[in-house]
Amino acid sequence: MDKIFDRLYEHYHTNLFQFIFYMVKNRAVAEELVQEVYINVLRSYQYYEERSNEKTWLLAIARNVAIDYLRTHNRRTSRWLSKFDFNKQQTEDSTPLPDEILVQKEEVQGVYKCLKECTLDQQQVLILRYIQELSINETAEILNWSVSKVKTTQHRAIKALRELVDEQTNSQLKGVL
Amino acid sequence: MSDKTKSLLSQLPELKDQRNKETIYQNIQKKMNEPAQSRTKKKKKTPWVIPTFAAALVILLAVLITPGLFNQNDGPTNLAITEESNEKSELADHSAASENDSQTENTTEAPSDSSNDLAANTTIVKEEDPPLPKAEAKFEQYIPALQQTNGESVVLSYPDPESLLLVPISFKVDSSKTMANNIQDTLSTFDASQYGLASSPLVNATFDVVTEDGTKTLVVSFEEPGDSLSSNESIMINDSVQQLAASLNAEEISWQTKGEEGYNLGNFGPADTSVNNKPSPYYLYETNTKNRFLVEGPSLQGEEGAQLDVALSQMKEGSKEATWYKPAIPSDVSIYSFEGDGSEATIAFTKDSKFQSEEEALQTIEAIMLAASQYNYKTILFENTGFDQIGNYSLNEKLSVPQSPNAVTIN
Repeated sequence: MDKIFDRLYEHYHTNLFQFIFYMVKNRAVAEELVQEVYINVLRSYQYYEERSNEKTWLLAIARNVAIDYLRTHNRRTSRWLSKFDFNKQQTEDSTPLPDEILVQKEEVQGVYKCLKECTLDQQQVLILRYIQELSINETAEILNWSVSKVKTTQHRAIKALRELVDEQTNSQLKGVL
Repeated sequence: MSDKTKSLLSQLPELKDQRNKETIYQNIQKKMNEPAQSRTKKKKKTPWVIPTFAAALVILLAVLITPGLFNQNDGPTNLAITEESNEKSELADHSAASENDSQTENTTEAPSDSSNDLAANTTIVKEEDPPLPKAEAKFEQYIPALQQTNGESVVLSYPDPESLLLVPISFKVDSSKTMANNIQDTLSTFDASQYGLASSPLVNATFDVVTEDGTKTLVVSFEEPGDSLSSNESIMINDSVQQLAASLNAEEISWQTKGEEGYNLGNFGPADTSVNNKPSPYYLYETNTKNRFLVEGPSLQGEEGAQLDVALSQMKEGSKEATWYKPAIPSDVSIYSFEGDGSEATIAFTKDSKFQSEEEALQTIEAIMLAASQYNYKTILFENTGFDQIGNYSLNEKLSVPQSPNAVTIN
């Protein structure tokens, strides 16, 4: 086995898989994409500059791969949806919740569902800052943003997520009443 | 509340890859060892099989059933694109009216959205070519298009900072230099960051434009092989070269690596040498420097690509999935009717359409004209804009479609 792969896997695989999973919210897709990350990494490892942080370098590649996928997937979806007059309900995501999420309390499940509704920028910041627990500087490095952009997006993302969770709770209450 | 949201986020579980290290490594090895050609065949050819057959079938059916479909530009089509319904209503057939060679011009009386009245006939007077706008207008945020009168131009594309889309920027060509030098000089001198854009993916390439046996070819040569490009980098390079080739009216692209024929675009394999002339809807993109540009969305394929009204509908709706594409037709504006006659078209907005500013009106009519130009319309008459003059466009007469979007002058 390739020594580089072996080392990267041992150190970062969980982080990489988790990051990609929360970006695409689909286990099978995440499995494919994490492989693509390794392929890109192994092909370009010679260009890796040791002065930068290896973890942020890998996550930056993972982020690009995930965005590539979402971009292509969205294009396809949008093209197909434009062919048919689907109404909003039909386009709602029906992907079942992963087992790891299903065993969590309802509030956590709600946050997972609402995370999908945030913008792509907001999702990236929320995943890196609060699920991956990276610093603002590391997040900025991965996203190739300024620190202030990360801070602003983070602030807006939390606000948006909170509103989505509240909205969801209220609609559930209406259903009960 | 914010703290609670953060706390709930951090309680999201750690998700583990259920495969073991060996399985993953084997999969990677398998993919890495796949010959580039076989990967290319899978990726490049498969997606075209169904659309190609579908397009052929549609054309066959169209020929058999309605030969008149092929003269769509000669017959008027009215449509209403409203925010509430997004329904396109095909209104009355005005073929009789268009055949009438009347010398008078009746303005379409567009009703409000709630009215069911049909549009009055519009007969377009065959006149001499309309006067062209003389110079670009100056606006705060929107970068106006380059006009036909501005001479030869070249379109170079710059990605947004996240590489989600490409912004085509039009530069006037210095006729004292070769086209290759113009492209090279623009790539090295234009600072895209001042507009909130990233640098061109073609910055390290060299170019040439050659015409042999009447075929104009754009030659693009890269110093490094593109085998290790990510799929996003590959898309950015391919789309930039395609937009450049289209702006030069090139018919072919010669992709080269270190002067040798052929260039691989990462996992996509060898780059396509044909020039993509498929139409695309135009959307709006605002950079973090608050500059607003018109950008092309994904190309419209086959049946949906054959109709301008499909492109206009998408420009009105924006893209719900690719949210970085903002609608180029604002929410308070609806198109009441569209009538095409050869290379001329008349577009009437509903009477209650309201542009928030002259700048918003300018970006809307330029987006519509640029989209229409892909369907070979040369002049457009706009009705019910609420303006007599927008920038250098006189709205009382037919407007010549702009040459290309987002004209920038390098100081």
